[in-house]
Amino acid sequence: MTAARGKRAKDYDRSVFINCPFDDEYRPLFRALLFTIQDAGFVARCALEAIDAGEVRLAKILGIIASCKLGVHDISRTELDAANKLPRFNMPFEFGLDLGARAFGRAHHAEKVQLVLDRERYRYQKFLSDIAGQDISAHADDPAQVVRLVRNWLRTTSKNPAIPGTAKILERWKQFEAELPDLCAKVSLDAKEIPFADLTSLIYVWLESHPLAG
Amino acid sequence: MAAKTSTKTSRTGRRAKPSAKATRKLLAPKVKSKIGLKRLREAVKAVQEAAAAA
Repeated sequence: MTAARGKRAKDYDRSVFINCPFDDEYRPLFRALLFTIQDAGFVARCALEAIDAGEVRLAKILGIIASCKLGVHDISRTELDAANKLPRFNMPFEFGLDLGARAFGRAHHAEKVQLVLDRERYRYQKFLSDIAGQDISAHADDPAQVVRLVRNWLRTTSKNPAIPGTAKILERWKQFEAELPDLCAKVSLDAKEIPFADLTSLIYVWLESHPLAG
Repeated sequence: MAAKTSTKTSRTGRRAKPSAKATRKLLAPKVKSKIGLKRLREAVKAVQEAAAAA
């Protein structure tokens, strides 16, 4: 079980590790994040693959981190749980694993790039001051902000001019969201709880049939 | 002796551009949906047609 294993995969440069909350409240932001990554021509990977596949979670997460050049880390849910008064550490932990892979992994892992998201820009200083110096982007729990931040980051990182503009991705994401209830009904899915594999596949085929003009 | 195969084009020396099919394959989700891409494509098409007819 080591993140340093494996050769540089064919799709390493296009693969984005998503480290974010999976709760109901975060769902609109998660869907906006997934759609933006796929519409920009990248492949979304995350720990939900492990749940879907029934594999050992940490081993699977390490495997995903090793095969993704890019990482989006949303630490906005690092807060006390109302029921047990304990914080959720999964997101800062997985962010640390990704930083560790960049520092101690194979040669291609040194090229890893991370985008760190939070609700507010300087909130992390109170619970994760070790990452001072990293540029933290604030989304204010707004899916449209997530689209803008992730799109701009992918454009800058990849230097690919073919990535659609924020307004275009937002327009397409809203159309996809509007059609999603009907799409789910056609394939007997619950629109509120779409498994990761089904959602990424649904976005993939939707994008196939809605190619960008020009 | 057989010529060594290369991904570079012989005339320009530049690396060949991947085909649209190859690029699409690279962008396919890593975990396959149990519903199947064929059924999902049919659902997308049906919703698209219903929207166009409305």
